[in-house]
Amino acid sequence: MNQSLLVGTFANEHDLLHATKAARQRGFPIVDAYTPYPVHGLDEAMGLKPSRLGAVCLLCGLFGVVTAMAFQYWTMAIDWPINVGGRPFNSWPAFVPVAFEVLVLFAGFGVVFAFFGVSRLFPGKTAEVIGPRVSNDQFVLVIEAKDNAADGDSVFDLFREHHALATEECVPSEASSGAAPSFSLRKWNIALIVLFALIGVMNWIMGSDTQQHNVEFLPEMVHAVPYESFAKQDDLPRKMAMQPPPEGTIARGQLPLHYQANPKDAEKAGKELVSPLKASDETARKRGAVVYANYCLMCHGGAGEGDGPVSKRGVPAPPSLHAEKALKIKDGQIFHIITYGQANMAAYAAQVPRGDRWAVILHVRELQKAKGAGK
Amino acid sequence: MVEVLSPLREALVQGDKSLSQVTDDVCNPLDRKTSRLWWCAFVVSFAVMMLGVVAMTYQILTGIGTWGLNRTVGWAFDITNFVFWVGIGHAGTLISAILFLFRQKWRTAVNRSAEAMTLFAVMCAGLFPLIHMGRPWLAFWMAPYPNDRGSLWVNFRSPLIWDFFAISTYFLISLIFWYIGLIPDLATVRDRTPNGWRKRIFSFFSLGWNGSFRTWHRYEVVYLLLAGLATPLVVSVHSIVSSDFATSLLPGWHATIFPPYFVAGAIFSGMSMVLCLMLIARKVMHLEDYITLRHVDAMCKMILATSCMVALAYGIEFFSALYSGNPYEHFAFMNRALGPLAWGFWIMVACNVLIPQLLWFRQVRTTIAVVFVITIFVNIGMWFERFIIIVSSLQRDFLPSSWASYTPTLVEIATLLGSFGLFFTCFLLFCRFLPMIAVAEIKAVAAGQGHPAGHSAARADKAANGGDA
Amino acid sequence: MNDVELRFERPAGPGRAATLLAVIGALGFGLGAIFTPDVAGLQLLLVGFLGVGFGLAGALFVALQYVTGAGWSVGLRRVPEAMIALLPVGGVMVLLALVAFPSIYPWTDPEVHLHGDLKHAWLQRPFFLARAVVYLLIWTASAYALVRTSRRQDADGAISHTFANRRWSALFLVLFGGTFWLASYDWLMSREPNWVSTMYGLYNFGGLFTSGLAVYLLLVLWLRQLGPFRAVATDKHLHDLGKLLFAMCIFWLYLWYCQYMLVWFVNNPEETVHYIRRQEGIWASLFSINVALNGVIPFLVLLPKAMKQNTKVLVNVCVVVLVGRCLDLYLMTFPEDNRVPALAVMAAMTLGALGLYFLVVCRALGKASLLPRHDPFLMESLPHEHGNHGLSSISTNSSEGT
Repeated sequence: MNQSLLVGTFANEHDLLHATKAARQRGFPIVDAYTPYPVHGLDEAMGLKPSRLGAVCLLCGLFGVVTAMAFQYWTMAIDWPINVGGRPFNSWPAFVPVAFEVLVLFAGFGVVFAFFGVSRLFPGKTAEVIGPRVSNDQFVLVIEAKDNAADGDSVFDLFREHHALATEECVPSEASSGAAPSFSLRKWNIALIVLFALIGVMNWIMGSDTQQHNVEFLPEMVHAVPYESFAKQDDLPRKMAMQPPPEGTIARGQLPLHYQANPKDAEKAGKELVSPLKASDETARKRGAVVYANYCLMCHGGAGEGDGPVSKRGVPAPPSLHAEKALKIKDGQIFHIITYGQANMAAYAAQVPRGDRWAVILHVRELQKAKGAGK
Repeated sequence: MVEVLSPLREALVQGDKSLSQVTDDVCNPLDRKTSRLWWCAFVVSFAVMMLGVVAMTYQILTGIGTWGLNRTVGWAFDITNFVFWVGIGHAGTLISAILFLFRQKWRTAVNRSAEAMTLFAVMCAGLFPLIHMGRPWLAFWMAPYPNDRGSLWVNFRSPLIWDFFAISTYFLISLIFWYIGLIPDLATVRDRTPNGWRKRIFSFFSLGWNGSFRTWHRYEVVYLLLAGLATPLVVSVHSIVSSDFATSLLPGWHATIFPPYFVAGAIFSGMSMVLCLMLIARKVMHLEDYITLRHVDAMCKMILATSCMVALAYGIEFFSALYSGNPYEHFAFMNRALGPLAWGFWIMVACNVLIPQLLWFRQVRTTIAVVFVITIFVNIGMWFERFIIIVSSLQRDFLPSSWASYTPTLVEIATLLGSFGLFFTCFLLFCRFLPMIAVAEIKAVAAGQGHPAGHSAARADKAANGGDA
Repeated sequence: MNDVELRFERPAGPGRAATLLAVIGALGFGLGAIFTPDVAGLQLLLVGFLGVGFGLAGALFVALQYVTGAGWSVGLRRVPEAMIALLPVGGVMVLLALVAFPSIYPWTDPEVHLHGDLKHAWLQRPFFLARAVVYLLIWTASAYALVRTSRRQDADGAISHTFANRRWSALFLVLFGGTFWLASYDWLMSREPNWVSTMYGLYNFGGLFTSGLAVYLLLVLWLRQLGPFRAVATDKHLHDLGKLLFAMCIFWLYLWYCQYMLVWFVNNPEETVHYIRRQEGIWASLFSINVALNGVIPFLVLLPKAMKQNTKVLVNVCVVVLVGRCLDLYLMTFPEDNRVPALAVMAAMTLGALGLYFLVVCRALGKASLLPRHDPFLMESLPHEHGNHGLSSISTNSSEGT
């Protein structure tokens, strides 16, 4: 440890290479060589063992790919499987790209950090520069002085044999700035373990309330300004955010019908309301036929006889549309009946818009005419 | 074993440079005062970048409606620019990693700047998926972290999520690959910089590198491993980007050849951009002895080769579309050539297929001015290729009632220009503050060019007789 | 330059074995043609295509070496040059299959409905056969130009031959690129006339490259074993070829995955029908085995550096890749109409073809010096100790053989 270091400086890689080979042959203990670029064959000459960083890379990569595949499988097939376009939940062909990228990411960063760790490279490290021109154009070989075999003279002779530009002997404390690198792996590891332990303990002490939200980023969407449709709202009637429209609200573009839902007003409507459609309007009548088939046919039957499928199955049958009474009532009264209902018939105002109601009436008249003609 | 070179091989580093000359040539520009030319270029590109910043800020505050997108043409300039920039980034990794694996020594003159270009291009590329989201401030939702929305996970089956992983990984791996390569050079600059804040910065980032061969030994292994990882990475990234289109149903988009076709196209456009910038740099920074005509020739050949591959892909797609008998495919390709975007299609064919054929002639490859013009045309052509693929297939797909046309707005054009501004600003900063050529690597090449025995004696004499003190 | 002549003589043992295999193959084909013409015809096409593939791969390696200006493989170049001799042999088999066995293709039956007018015009027998002849002629002519020029350089050592071959190489690459995918479409993909995949040609190219590389590597390993060629094909060359094989197997896997994933993802019945057929019943296991043989196994085995240099491992991996290629071709074509495979006939024909190809390659290897001795870049390929040129370790005028 306190042996001095014998430093030889060379002008090109070949001299260094030959000197290193010769030094190793003679059994001089080689500390290190310093070069401005990696010299081919120098690792062999120095007798360096092949690096195991390849294995580190492979392991990190394997870890990455396994983690990525497992995570994708778990999220997509177990935790919250969502059917996306009919792809199977375990859609491995689609998992491959992400798994590959993660493999490369883990392998790359793993091997680089391993390299930094093993070579003791870290930001802010003070470089132990053996010679000011090593990073420029000079090549340096450092041999540890040993009393018998590798004494200063024989080593320096070897250096000079290989055209050394300069030879120097120095004691380690002068050669390097600081006996050991200022980076201590052990201290860092201990610090990290303590930190994690602290965090773990704090976490346990504070507990976790799954009912409470974490910090919310950009809460405008989470806590929206407008009322939430189905939430409780204390300052509104019935403490509901969802309020019905006020009494008397009418749809745009329509005037209210000022009738009550009783037969007297039905007759009144018959006197007052007039169909906006002409009796000869074929398009409207065809529309009416469609609306009739959708809404009326199930009780009133296809021909208006009151024998629709619903009436055949327990619902009281409506009177025939060809009865005397039905032939006599006016269009406006039929309109009232469709709008407000009558006896067993419910109000169809919500399902059948006003224009369609008049169209249905045209169709009903047609049915009545047809039956009459047939008679 | 000594590596022997045939005397027919042109020297890669010309001018019979010594190692210290190499260091000086590359590092002197860093010590000099900033030239006026650099300031002019920087001011211009910074201004253009600011234009883009303004446009993007306006667009983010106001909404995607400031762009010319509509329901039919949902992607246009945004994704075109994204794919364009990712493609440009690929040349850097190709030169760094793939050519390293193939032991092409000429790469050492251009790989540092090419990798830097990759990083800047990927930054420009990453902008576009970010700003084309309706709510870019929620971009972090693309990362699969446990959350209180269920946990609602990202859709790993979607190519758009593959993109997120691919581009991030590509950026990070390119960054560490570039940085690893830089460390020895940062040490070189550190050692020749007088004490001061500059030395401290270089000291900090060079991680205490001192040229120890034990470290070099491991360094070579790491470099090789990163190159081996980066090679499939670059292929996978552009394949994933291409599957944004290929996994759809649209005629003209869904073709199984898209991944390798896009990779070839990426190398094509990227190499052209690298060559374009290198031609400028070698002139301005007096690096003609390092970025020689042989380098230009090699890059031209790669551009030619990839141009032929791209042309072949066009042919295969066109033929297959007609051969398939599918009327939609048939129409999609006829529409590209003869429809409303025909002008763009023919620009694309002219720039990508026809003009690069000039590079078959050695005369052309060695005339710098012509090569420079060709590289610009190639970049234009490749931008149009992405534009045509995206917009023509969207514009006129299955249902004629949905057909719509697309016009870019000023905001989109300003954003595109701004991305160029960002790219060139970053590149100019790189040229000014960092060694543009991989000093350590090119020293190895320069040293390996000489004759073994005679050289060392000559050098030793020169050094002993008072060379650089 | 040093003038060393290294010649090849086919050793008797392997020669006899190969001849025997060829005879068995011919017999198998004969019997198959009589009793199971469906299988025999298709298998003839496949083994012919395999041979054409080896020939094209050889030409490809030579062309790539010239175009990239590679120096490391110059010493080995005569091996792929010899592989080029397989082009006419495989070509004849392909043509024979196309002419004599129209039942290979469903579209020869006028009842079969083809989508599209271009397809109708394209898949007409006279035009189809004419195209086949044209492809083979183009390939043979441009590949032979490479061999011819290379051999001429042996005689006069002029550098102009290198430059000429660079141009021939570029021409070959352009012609090959422009026609090989069409040939794949024509000969293999049209067995499923209403299915198209734009990747098909490139995928076939991937298989061609890996299997051609496997053959190249096997030949180099065999020649090393025989004697003096060991000084030319060093461990470093093996390592390089091993690395190349490793990389191309990954590339094959990538191509396979792209085609599969995109068809799977879009789930378009027009396209998925191809893969569904190959994932039913017995085909399913063969489908997975195919991926394993061509991509996964070579990748895993060749991953460690030591494996890429180990002769035994390389031989095994090359054999696996070759078997994989045969399986790949089989899977690309047989499931279409569920032809009942006559395994004996198919095995006999495959082995027979390989035996025949071996004989052809040996003959081609013997026609010129094993070392392109006047190539100006030869020195970059040969091993060097300091100051010594490795050629001195090769005894002059030695011939290989038992």
